[in-house]
Amino acid sequence: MSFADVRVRLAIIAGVMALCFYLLYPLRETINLGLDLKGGIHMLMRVKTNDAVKAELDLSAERIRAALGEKGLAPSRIDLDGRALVFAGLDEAKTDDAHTLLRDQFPQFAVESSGTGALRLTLRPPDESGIRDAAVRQALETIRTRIDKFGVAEPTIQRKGVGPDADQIVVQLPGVEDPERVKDLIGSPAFLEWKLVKIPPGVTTEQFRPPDNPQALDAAFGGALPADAEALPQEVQGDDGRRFTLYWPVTRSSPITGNDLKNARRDQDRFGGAAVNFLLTADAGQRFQELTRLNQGQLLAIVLDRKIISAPRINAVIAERGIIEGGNFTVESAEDLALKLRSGALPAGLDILEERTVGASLGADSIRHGITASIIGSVVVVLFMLIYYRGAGINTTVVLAINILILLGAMASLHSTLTLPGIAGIALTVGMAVDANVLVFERIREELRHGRTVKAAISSGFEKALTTIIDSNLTTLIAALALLGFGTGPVKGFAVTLSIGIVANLFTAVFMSRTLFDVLLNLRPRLEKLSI
Amino acid sequence: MLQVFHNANFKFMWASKWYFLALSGVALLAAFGIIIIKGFNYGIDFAGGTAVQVRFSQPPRLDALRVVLEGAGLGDVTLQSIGEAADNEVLIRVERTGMSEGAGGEGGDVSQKVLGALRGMQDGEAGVRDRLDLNTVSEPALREFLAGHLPASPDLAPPDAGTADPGLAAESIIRARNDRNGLFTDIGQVAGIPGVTGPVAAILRERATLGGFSLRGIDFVGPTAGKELMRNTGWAILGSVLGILVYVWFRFHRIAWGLASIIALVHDVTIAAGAMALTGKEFSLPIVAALLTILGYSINDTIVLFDRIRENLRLYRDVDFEKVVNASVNQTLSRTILTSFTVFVAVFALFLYGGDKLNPMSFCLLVGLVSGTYSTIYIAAALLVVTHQVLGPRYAKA
Repeated sequence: MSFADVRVRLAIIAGVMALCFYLLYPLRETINLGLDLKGGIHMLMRVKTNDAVKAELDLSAERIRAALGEKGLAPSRIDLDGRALVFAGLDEAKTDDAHTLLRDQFPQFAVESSGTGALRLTLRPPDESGIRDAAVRQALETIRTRIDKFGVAEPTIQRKGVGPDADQIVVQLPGVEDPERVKDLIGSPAFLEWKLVKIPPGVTTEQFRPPDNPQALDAAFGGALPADAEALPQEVQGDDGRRFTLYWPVTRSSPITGNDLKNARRDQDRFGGAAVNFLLTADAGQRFQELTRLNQGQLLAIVLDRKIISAPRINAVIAERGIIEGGNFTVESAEDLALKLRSGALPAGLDILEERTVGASLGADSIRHGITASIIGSVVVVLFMLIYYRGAGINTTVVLAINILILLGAMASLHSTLTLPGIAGIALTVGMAVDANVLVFERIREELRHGRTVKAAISSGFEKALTTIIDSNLTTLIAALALLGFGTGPVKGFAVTLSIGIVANLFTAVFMSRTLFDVLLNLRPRLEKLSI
Repeated sequence: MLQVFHNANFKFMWASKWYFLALSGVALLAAFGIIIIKGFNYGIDFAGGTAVQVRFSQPPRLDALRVVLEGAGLGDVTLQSIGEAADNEVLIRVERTGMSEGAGGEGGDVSQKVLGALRGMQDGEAGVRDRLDLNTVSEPALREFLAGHLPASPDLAPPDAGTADPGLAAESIIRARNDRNGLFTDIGQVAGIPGVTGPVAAILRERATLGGFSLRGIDFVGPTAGKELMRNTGWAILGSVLGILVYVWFRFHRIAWGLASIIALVHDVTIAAGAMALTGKEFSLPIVAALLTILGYSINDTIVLFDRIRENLRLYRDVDFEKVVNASVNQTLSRTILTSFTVFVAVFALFLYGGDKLNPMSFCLLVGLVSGTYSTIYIAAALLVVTHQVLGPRYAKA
């Protein structure tokens, strides 16, 4: 082995080390810590796309009824049967006309006749998955907007899987520790509606007090609510701190909804309490003006996600600007509501499938424990190698240190995440990396026992151990890669450090360790006794 | 020169291989039996449900806690003290409740109920309700709270009172809280933090409180996610076993060699899993990682030996097969013991000092390491010799 050759190899090693130092500087920013180490919230949610399909069917039912009505083909009943719309009571003679009209104007439905004077409409599969896909995308956008405004550094908000049927969303919020608020913030649909209150007959608006059960409300209307009204709950807290629910009779239709909002901000009401002010679009502002002008003195309920916030009296004509108050808001809840209104309503509800919250203090504990254990393990391993192999143990120590350097440098360049099991993976790598050295050193000892010269023993030791080192590392890598493919979150971090550690080990234990021996041989060509 | 063995020449094969094969068989059956009869202590990852970890400022009374939690309609609640007694730390585990899918989440609100109940316990103290709890608030929420309550225009404040930057104050308060293991015990501690200026401290004194607990972590896994994790685990183990089988077969050209090493692998993984069932340590996702690592480590050890056997079979063509195998075991013995020792040391450090979270994983690894070292000699090598004796050299020679 010529000295020139050794110099080239030393230069390669120096280059690799310099690259790793460069990649790792500054350490705090280059090594990406997992949520289990730095604290934060991980949530896996499913968008209830069935909700979106049902909403679409409801909307279509109304449009189809109108279209049929224009041609004098109006059905007497429309029923929702699972994911199909059933139009019943059509004029038997004109069923074919209706069929043709539906086929031409509503191509997203497959139409089939279902008994006399009845048609059954089902969404075509591509259109249905289109609706689901759109719902997930819109939910993703809405959640993203809400999180962005929540002010979290580097959140992850991703759709899990590919294709229109992937209905899961992953949200990761580093550094956030109050899951309750986050769940409220991203989980609630935030669908806002304004509805007029229907005062029961025989009572004035001033006299009307909503009852605390729906039966009493039905009774006030003489047995049942009118067809165009519904009962919605309001949760109130009495002066004594007791909570109870009131039921308000309101119109089914909502003249103004959250879709008409242009902006919403936290504000203060007349008494200095928290409230939310809003700005409507120009078009909705005109409708609002009309509504408030025609219904002076009546009550207008503000409904959020089917629950009444408050039902103030219309005392003035209101156009684009207004305020939502009387909802027992705190500064935070008013801020959150304004934020949710600005980001728009979720198209469908969310199911939380998995949630992991790690407090930053717990994460800090984990880092402390993981690093302490790794350092203790490494020190004992290195001490052992130094005692057992003496001079050659120094070789191991250097190679091991460079191995960890390369491992961290590779993690930085791959932007992979270091987790608690990942730290365990590094500790394990230290233990296993020594294996390659042991294999070589034992072989060198054997060769020396057989009377070979130091130079020949080193050369043949490395040669004979090489296939074994490659074989053994490759099989461990197979297991690590299987884990990498399946693993999620922290466990994936383990697979990452283990895999990179194994690959780095092949480089350090074979190439670097050999180079260090060659340097020794070049410095002392007449070396007769190797310290091993 | 330090040496573990000086020209080791132990008789691993011949009669003793039968004793140890029998012993391995018994151990394997026992491990299977324990797994089937006793079962695993599945963690949240696989069992599903909710686990909430909290640290209290005062030593918690578990019985009182249980009454409160069960009163909140949480059903069966398991309470477990973790860490050292002085940590006042409790893991609250709620099994999956009867909540149906689609009805307002699979149960993501269980953790909310737990926190609500814990908060309810301290609401009895006067004036605590409606105040900001500095022990559970997160940084963005605290920043917003301060921004909402600080005087709107900073130029009204006297210049030397220090500018009250809500972002900076929130950051230093949360950092200080983490340094105190997540709990402030006295509001004076907050006022003393560098970065907390007079106005901030005044607002906190007036409108904030210190709750009796801090949230350390929440794990919730719904039935859907749990099933998926289970399925993935199965695939990962199956995939790596097949991958290893194919690799060994390809490398040594004889399926007998591949099968011998796979049987050793199955033994090691089963023994490690059996030890988990026996000790009742929590079986969660990192255990899967540990089992796969055992697979990798055990095959690594086996391959080192098989490589040497193959080399020796070529060198000594006329020597008896069993003698060659035994000699190979002896030649690699030093290396086997040394490597196992260093890996063992590294993992043992994790076991002792790695904390609660790494403890079950490192325990599983330790058992697997010992078993992996043993099985290389007494299962993989022994089975090669048995194959050679029973089926003839055609199947065993490489």
